[in-house]
Amino acid sequence: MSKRQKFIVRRAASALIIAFIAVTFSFVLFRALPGDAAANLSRVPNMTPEAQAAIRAQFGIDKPLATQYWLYLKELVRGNLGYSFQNQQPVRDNVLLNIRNTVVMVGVGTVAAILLGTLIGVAAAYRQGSARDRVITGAAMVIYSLPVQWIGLLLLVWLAGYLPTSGMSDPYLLDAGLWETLVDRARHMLLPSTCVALMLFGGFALVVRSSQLEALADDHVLTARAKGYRNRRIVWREAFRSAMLPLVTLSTLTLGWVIAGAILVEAVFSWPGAGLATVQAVSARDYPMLQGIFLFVTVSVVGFNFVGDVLHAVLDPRVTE
Amino acid sequence: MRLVRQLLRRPTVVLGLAIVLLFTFVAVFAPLLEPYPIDGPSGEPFEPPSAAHWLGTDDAGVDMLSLVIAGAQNSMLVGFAAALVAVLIGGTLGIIAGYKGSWGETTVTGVTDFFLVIPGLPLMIVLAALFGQTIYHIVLVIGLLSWMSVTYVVRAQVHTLKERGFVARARSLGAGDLYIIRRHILTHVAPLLVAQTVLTVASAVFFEAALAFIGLGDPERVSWGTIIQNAFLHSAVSLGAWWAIVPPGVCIALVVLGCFLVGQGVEEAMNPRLGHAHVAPKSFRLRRASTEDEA
Amino acid sequence: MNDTRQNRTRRLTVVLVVAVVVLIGLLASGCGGSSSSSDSASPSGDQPVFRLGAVGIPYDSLNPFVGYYGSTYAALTMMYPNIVQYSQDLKVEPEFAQSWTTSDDGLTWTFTTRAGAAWSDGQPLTAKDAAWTIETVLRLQGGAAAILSPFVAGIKSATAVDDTTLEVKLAKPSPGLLSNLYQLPILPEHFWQKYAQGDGAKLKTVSMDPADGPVVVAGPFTIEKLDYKGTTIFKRVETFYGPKPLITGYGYQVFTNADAAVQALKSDAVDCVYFLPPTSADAVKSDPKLEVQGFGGAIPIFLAVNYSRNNITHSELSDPQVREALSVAMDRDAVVTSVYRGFAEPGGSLLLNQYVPQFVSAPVPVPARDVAKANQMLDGLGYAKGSDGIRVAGGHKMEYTILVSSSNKAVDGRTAELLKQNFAEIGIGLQQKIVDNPMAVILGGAKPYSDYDMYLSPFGLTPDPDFSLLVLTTQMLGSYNVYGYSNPAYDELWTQQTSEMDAAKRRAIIDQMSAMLAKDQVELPICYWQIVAAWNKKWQNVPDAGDVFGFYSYLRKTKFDTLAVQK
Repeated sequence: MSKRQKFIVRRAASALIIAFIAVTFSFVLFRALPGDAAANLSRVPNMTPEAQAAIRAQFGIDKPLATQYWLYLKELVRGNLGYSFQNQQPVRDNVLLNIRNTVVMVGVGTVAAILLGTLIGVAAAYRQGSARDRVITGAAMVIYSLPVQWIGLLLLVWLAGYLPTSGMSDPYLLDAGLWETLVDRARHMLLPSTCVALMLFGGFALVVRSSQLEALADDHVLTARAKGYRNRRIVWREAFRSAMLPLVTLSTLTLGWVIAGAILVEAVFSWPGAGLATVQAVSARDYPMLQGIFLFVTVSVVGFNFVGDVLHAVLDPRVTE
Repeated sequence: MRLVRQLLRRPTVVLGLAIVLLFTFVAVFAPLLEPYPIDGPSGEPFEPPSAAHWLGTDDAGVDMLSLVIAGAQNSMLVGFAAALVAVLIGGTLGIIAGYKGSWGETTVTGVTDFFLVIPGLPLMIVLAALFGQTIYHIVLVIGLLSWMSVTYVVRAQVHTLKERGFVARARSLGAGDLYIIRRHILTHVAPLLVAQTVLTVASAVFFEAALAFIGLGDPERVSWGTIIQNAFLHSAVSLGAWWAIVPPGVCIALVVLGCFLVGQGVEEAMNPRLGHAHVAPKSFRLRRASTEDEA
Repeated sequence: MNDTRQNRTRRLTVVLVVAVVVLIGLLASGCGGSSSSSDSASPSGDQPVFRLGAVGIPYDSLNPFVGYYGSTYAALTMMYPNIVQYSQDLKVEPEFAQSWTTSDDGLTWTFTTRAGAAWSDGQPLTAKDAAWTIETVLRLQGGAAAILSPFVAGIKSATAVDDTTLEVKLAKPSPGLLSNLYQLPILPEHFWQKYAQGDGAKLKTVSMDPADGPVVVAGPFTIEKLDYKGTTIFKRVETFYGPKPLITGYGYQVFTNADAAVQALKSDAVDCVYFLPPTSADAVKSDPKLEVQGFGGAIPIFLAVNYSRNNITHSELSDPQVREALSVAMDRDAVVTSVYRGFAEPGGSLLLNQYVPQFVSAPVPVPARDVAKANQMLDGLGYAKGSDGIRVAGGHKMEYTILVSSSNKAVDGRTAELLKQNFAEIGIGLQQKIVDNPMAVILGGAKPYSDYDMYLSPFGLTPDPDFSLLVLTTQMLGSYNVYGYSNPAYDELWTQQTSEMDAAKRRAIIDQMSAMLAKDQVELPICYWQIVAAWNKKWQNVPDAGDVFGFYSYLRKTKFDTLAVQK
């Protein structure tokens, strides 16, 4: 097995272990509810004692902890994450639907941020030390420091009349053609995705700039100049590729921030994704939903990081040392 | 100290320091600085800025400027307290990892890796929803999820110190572990800890605002995060009451920016190479990639 | 770094793959969702789909055996027949049953139901369906039909003598039978029978999504597109036996926050929004094409103060004098103006004479605000003010915690802040505690009611006061009795009125009960708030003026027979 393959196997094993620990951690958290769990779970006044008893049985509240854990793992493997308090639907179905919506909106925003950040970072690095560089870097830092929910609220205040400010689509747009539907979706997605992009691009710009600076100082750029390549070509072809590397690693690192941003942006724009579902689950104290989303997101991040590690290994063999 | 003088020569660090000190001052003396009391209305709901109310009023008619000043106290408090918790945990673990090596190091890095992977805000939300949302809970929750990069940075620094031979020399003279840690390691690591504290304040303030926006802030206290959430909850957007939204966000941005400038400045001064490495500005820390173990 | 062509290609591939994935996701979400065919031919007189919205009030489940939200019942009532319903002025009126008689001993009620009615799939709708529904709920009331069991309380059996005659037999006379029965959705036996076999566990799993199979209803509307968290669309059922709506359908859209609802109104993405927070009313008023109105003013919010003897740390709270002091210290007008923006009335009693004169002989005046009197009363009890202005009683400061439900903290939180200011003026300290489950806190602690001082208690309003009065009885301790109040004399009166068939006598008993509650200062009503609705003026006849609950509620089938867009 090559060094790279061994690295990937090691990373996969560590990812699996971490995922398992996260699953157990989640179980401990949610079963260690303060106060009587059943009182929390069946908090609705309308519920009859029989319904409360039914909930107790379903969640195995009255069984010993070890049995509960085993049941929990068993159900998890089967894909059963419990039932949401809010609408009695399976958590798994709710979460899958929501995650899809989140990924699309956040994905578009992140791609835009990467593009914009790269452009700005390269432009700033090209003229390091100049006024342009300082202004760009300063602006990027300032925007990066702004809390994303605040950016969203201001976007709402300015653009409310011109673009839809909530939801993913017009619910009454039935029987519309593909183009109409796409335009409708795009209009609804524009504000929240822009918000996500604004939140992230500053960070990307700064990182691209610094790694671009490092790359431009490298020897092979000197060689390229000696060979007679023009400046612009050098900058974009030679140095840009090295700037891609930290971007790939950075994307997996900033995942935590992307998730935080997703939660806040979806709350502001009522975007029906996993972030909004989290906020709603919190205010309804819908513990099964909370746990389901948390598990899903955590395991996804573990998986994503693993993919990122693999990509990193593919792109930069030094990492496998 | 030479380091401090070096720092004060850089304009960005001075600017950052000025901002942080200004807000700390406001936070400490908040009750004296508030023009109006905040426990009741002093104007009409959502009054626009005027001579009487420089930043207008919120939905209950409470003066916004007073709210923002009062918010400074709680936001900065959460920021610094959470940062202290994080740095205490992270610093201790980092020293253990760097100094002890072998089992200690493996365990610490394993635990740190685990917490790094868990998405921060969702776990904070879960903890706050389950266990409570008073200011003490929030400080703990944020602090407990912000120590990871401190650990790595400190560990790297301790490694460097070991390589430079301080430790070996002290040991050969018969010094015990605790003495070495106290005398040599801590003194060298201290500036780094200060930098990490300041950087963590920035992310702590962000998380406080995020938790508050979701409804998990301390309901008894006013913070910048709760001011924004409150404006949202009471339809400030529809009413065009931008003054209820803008000031707290600007304050958060300034504090975050200021902390970043100071923190990054200190770290760059301590190790010029760090300025060019794979820094993630928002979390203001290094990622643990295998290429960076040489510090 | 060794920059080979291989590496370059690999990197480019990565970028391309990511881009393609995102694009596919975009397209997939664009093509997702069920496209349904709405009615093609619209005869003249048909109105467009009416787009209704509500802020923060979703359906929990439209399966009658699962859902229990008020909004859910407002929808169920548009789908299934109800034996009776309530009129705008809270009187019982015919629905599926057109008339009814009671036997002399009050134990048998005979309903005459509509003839020639049909379900949406063409099957006949008769009294047999009503009988089957009642019997099934009775049989499964301990398990699968638990949610529906309160509606058949006191019924022993139900039989269909023929297609249009339903006979209901009771265990003992019950004047309030109809006030329970009206909420029961009458279900088609031929559809639900197969799920009701055995313990009926399958009943709760029936999907109400038309994509999963036909939904059998009697109208006026049926589900066309189901989306609990978004917009559920209903379409008109042509076989409905009652007044035919002009609109071909309506949508119910859940907005997660008020701003989204207001924006939707302003940009004409929604026609009417319900349960608008009062603070948003100003935002809507500024738009000339929109109209805002408050409905009813019959939903009370009480300051519930712990009456229980289990509250040993703050036992002074169960003293009627202390409670009265709290009541007169409250600035109810400020709450109405500042918290509810005028969409409320100060309140003085549980039952309101103006809405239910059949149960309340005379209006109860609202206590006038009198801080001096409150201070006097507390001084008289010997609770002197300390140096910090807070009174001391029984060796401890009179500082209390008020519980605020997290789901309503935007409004109740403000009310609690105002109360804190008011009580500070009489030397009583108040601190807010936001909890997601107030009942758990009230009933938790070492003993029930031992760890609780005050709570901003919302209350549902029911057309018959039976349940509202029941809440204060001893048997409700540990469940709905948030006051911890226990008075055997009161309990006795409650039992009496529950079987008193003579209306005048029943009212007399209820008056007595109200007087008892007033003397003991049990409930401290703050105000009665209105449901605020806003709509686009292009629609005619949107509100039913004077309607206590606004036009879309669970009290009756909303009449859409005059709702139309003006030409």
